Amino acid sequence: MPRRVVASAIAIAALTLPPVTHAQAPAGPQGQGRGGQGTGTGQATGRRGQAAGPAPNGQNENIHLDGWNRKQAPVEATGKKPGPAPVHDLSGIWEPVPRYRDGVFASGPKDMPSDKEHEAMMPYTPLGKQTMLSHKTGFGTNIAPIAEINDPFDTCDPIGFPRIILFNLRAVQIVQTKNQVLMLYQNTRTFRTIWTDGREIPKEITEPRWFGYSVGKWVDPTTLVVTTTGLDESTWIDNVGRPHSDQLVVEETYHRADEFNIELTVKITDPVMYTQPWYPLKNFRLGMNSPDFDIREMICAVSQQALFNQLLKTATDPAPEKSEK
Amino acid sequence: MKRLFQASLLLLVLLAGSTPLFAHHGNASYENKEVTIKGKVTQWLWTNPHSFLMVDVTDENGKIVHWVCENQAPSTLVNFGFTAKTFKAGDEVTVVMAAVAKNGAPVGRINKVILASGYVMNSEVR
Repeated sequence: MPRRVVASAIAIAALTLPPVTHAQAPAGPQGQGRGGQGTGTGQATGRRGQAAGPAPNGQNENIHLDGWNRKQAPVEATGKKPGPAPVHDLSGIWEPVPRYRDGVFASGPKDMPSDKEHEAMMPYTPLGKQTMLSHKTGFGTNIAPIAEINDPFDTCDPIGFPRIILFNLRAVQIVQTKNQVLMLYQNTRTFRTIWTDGREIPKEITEPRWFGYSVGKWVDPTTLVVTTTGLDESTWIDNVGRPHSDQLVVEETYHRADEFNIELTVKITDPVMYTQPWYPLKNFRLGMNSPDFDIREMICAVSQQALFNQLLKTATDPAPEKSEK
Repeated sequence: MKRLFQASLLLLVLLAGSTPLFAHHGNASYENKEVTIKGKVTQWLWTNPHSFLMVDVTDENGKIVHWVCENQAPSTLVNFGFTAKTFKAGDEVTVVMAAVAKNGAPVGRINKVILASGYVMNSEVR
């Protein structure tokens, strides 16, 4: 019975998490809100630690905060004019623009979402189609009730590559060293190493990896092309279940359009699953954030995910008492 | 001193124009229907991938229904002013959901929460 399930879920929740003991009044608009309306970035909001109660009849706003709860916006949105793109330099803290959630891609990546129209354009091989159909997803054409979803990420398996850039692409800090470009992702708080020391992709992959083996080459002063292979087959390419084999090769092109913007294009090649290459992203824009932007944690915690699955399973039970008539 | 909290299921039905853009898990189990409940918070779970507000609603017959109200991920909610301490057990709230379980289970997705003071906590991503 659903009520029993909910009750037991609450019991699980009670055991899993400590009870909330302190009320925190949300900031209201009458003197209790953010710490001001300035245009700079990195501004403290004043939301935390407010002792005053909420303003009656007011309502909250949607303002982008960093991990330290400081008001943030892409540098360009603060009115600064971008200079020319620096040479061979992607370093900085980046987020999708114009809206920081533009890289969520729940229903598939921007240029190849999983809907009827785009699925018809997907160049699946027979095996690719068959594998795709075996994937039960939360979104897209293979959408299934939660209890039937077989998404490996739903149990907090590593999100893997390229899904890390094709689902919940949030903030990413790019760090460059003499020999590497490091990508530090907000989602799942993971990182990739892209070697730029001139090495080639391994001729033979003896150990597939969740994030594969990546090499990067500057093809012009402002464009880095990254090639990745050796990817673990158990991951999905995106949030809608596009499959891949161990023959997958992903090519990312990072074009520094100007001082404050990067355009990302992703090409998928996998002759086992696809008859020809396809592009989940074309010139997807990432905007530079303030250098004091703190990337918030976004972690798939196994215990929390289990609780989530348990709580929502109630909604998929076939014959709940409430609906019986 | 034990004042019985008079909570009631307020409204059903009103086709919702949009649903929150929840990621990760999908919409297969939900239908877009605006449902408003009024009740008492039993727990506020500040968890990934999504948060949950657990609310007890007492119906007209005195029966308590345990609602599971799914909200956005903490990383999104912080931008709306939510924190891990926004709610505590016993808080009286009105919860407006944009979608509810198709099967009639007391599970839904939050559009906004109205506090006892009248302050509105939106969380719908547009």
